[in-house]
Amino acid sequence: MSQAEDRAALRPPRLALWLLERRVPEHEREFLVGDLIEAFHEAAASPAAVRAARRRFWREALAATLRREHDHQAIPFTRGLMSDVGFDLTLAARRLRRTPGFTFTASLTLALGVGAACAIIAVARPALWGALPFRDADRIVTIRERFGDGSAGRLGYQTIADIRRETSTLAHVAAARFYAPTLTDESGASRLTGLAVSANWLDVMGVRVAFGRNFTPEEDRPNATTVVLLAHQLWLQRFGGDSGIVGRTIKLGDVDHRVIGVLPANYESVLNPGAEILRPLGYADTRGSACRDCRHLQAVARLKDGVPVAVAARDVERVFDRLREAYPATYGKNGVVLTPLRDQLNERTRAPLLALIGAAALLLLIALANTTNLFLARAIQRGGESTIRAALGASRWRLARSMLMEALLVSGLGSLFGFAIAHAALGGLVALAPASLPRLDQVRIDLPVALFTVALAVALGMVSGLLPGAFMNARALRARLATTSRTVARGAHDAVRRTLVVAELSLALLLLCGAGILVQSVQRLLAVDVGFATDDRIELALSATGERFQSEEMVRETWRALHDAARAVPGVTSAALTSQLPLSDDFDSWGAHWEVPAADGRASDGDVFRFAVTADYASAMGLRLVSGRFLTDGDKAGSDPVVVINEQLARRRFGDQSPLGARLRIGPSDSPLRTIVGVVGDVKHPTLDADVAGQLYLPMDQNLFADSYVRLVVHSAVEPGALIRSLRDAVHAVNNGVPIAEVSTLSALVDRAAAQRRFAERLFQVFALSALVLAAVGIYGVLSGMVGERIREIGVRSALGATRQQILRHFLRQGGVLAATGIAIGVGGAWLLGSALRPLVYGISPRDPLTIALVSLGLGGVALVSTLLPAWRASRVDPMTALRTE
Amino acid sequence: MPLGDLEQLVMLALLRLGDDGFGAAVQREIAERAERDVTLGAVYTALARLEEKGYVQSRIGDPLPQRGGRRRRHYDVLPAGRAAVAEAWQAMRALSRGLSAQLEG
Repeated sequence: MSQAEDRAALRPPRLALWLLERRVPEHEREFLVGDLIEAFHEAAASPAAVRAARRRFWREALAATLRREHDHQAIPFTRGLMSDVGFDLTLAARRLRRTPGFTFTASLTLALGVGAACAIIAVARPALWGALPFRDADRIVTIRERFGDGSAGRLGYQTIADIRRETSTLAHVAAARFYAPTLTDESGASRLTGLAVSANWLDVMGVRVAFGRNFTPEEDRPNATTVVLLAHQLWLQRFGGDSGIVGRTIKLGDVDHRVIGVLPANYESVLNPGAEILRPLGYADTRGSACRDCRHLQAVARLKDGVPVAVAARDVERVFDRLREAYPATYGKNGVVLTPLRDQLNERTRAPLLALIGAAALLLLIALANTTNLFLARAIQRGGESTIRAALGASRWRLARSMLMEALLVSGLGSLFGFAIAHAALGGLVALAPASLPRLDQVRIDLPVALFTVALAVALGMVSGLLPGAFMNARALRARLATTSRTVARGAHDAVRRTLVVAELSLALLLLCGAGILVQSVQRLLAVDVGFATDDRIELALSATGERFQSEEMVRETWRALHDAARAVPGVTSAALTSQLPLSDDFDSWGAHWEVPAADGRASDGDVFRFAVTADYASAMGLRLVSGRFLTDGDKAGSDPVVVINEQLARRRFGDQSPLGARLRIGPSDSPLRTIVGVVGDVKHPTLDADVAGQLYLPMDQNLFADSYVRLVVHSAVEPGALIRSLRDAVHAVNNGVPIAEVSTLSALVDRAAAQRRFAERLFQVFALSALVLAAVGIYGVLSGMVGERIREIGVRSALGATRQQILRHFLRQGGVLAATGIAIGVGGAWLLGSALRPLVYGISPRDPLTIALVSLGLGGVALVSTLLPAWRASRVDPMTALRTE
Repeated sequence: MPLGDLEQLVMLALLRLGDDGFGAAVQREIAERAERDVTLGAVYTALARLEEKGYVQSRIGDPLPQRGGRRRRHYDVLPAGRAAVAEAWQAMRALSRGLSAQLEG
């Protein structure tokens, strides 16, 4: 050990000493500390004992400083640091109470920014960051087949079975398909949504049943699947939360199913929102629907511990290498995509949510600029007071601290108001939010969100309170004391103010441009010709599943009877049945195979939407007939097979020639050839912004099979509520085993299809409006502040002969320069950030020049008006009054 | 005024130390003789209380280098203090008479 180290080691711990010097009452400080040091040196005589001596010193120091007050007159812990803070806080509170205008404006401005941020974060958190209620959720991946065109989709059962067998990196591989049984009990029939899953589904999710038991592999076999697990919510709502439910049987599709367990309350069906009942899948390789081509199963897997997704993906890809070789016709060039559950969940919503968070951040920055400006004005007003305090020896920190305390109080108020705003907004946001937003039911202002909000408010408050303090520095104050002129310190904070205005204007421009573009985008989306009429039309989803509908004929008979009954309801203009409805969640596409291949040799068109409909579907939906005829009641089961195609398909296959009379097959190659008898206009399906695909309509009676799920479309002038009631009665009179689900008007259907964009648009509108108001207030505040400070200068100028026009022009020019700079920067920003809006935009460029130009003009106008008032006031200044104000 | 437990110990230590009684010395004396580990803070609290009761008197010494130039505060036992210790000792003795077998066993 060197000598220097030796000496250092022999000094008592410095921090402990500092603590002692600070905390031990003065009358005994010297003696007690001296005793300790003396004892320390005695104890630390040998190098081996130094550590023990230091430890002992610390112990003694802590004991001495923490002695309770009634034992001795130790300095209370709150004095010194804390009592000053308390004093400053009290003083700050008193000052804020004296200026309610400032307090209210500043905290409300802060609240606007913070509240918006809080609400958006609350909405986005469950989807983007909130913990998923599964064990090691980051180890869960979805598996999708990647097709030649780059799209990805579901898998066939045998493919999943192969992956399960031939991979070593996956702990569990589960499959699931849609399952919508009809539950019949005393209250009648109702349709449940659920999943048919392989027995290891809960193993993949890492979830245990709340009570009861999980499926066994034996139950995941054909004809053994009459057991179900209930989601917690369903169990509460339909079965009264009765824990005796396990072991009881319920009627699903007229068949007894045994309830074997209930899922935990926090289980969320994140991939299939709303699924509330689980049944074993019960597939075997021999089942028809288990084929490799039958790609209708959702596959999820749990990675083995420590295996990265990329490694597992290569592992599964190897399985596909073999499959491609073994079954070239089935797999072609297909590959596989593994996506972590969280990413899968946010595939479509991540970008829009981030854009909204970005918008909220812009608003926040504008709010920050405004509050900073308010505090700056306050600091300047208090210049005299600060000067005197500085002269009397107050440190710069001490001066800044009083401002900081005000800022903290304003932050506190701001976060309170902000919570109120966020709370009020959240209900509306959730109501407005598109159903496609993942985990919407988990949206709430919980503790982390609240803490984040408060932290944000405090940070903002600190910045806006400290920034002006930085310009109230000692030098400026001394200079002021020396000259007692109002104009001296102006340079520094004027620059701050100008920067603030420019920043505010450019940020506001960004938000306004975003809002402008989104508004137009939604308008264009809603103005899209959906291809069908929406007025006075409602739809009901019907299903005929279960034991009593085992025979095809029974299903067909039921639909026929229901169709007749619906048409007979008083006030109904027309009523039709269809196997799928545009813009609903239905998605049923088939291959169309031409009798005569097209000129380019193409014999089939894949992915054509199949609508199996009753003859009056065209009138019920108001479809536009282009050529030929639509289906008629004469197109029956026994008559010639016919089909009606849409314009897009006609153009794609026949170009300018008439398709009438040509023939095609739908689906399997052994299905009958159907003659094209008509062409109708395109309808938007499955989404508003999708490119129109081929669509074909065939008579329900001529379909290869009877659809178990259909929709009833009704055109009627009767008020929807009453209409739905009578339709419900009519359906039940025909067959009380047919549940009705998803009743909706067609216009609501279209609205829903635009919901995600409308959600973003509304939010941007609100943000942009707030930004505009804040920016206008900000400009006004800054300029009137400048004018107010320069009254004397204005007085001198006019005394020296400046005319009112000249003064007016002078201030207008100043405002104009600021506005122009802000707008120019904003336009640049709008150009740069445009791509962030792309996922939200339809039918318009995210950098639409016209919008940017119009918004710039508008904002410039607002800036001008905000400048005008203070400038006009400046021009009215009476030189004599002005010179006397000093 | 009767003496508390720690005050008794401090008083006895001061009597033993004679002219050399100060905080750290008292603490060491208690630790070595009575094997009681008391903090210096507690010793100072007790000393302050004893001074308040008029049992001890303090005087301030010269700055010492091993204390970083700080001074010592010495405590001398006053007659009233001596009497109080004697009284406490008497009481102890009177009460413990005949118990030596139990107390020392």
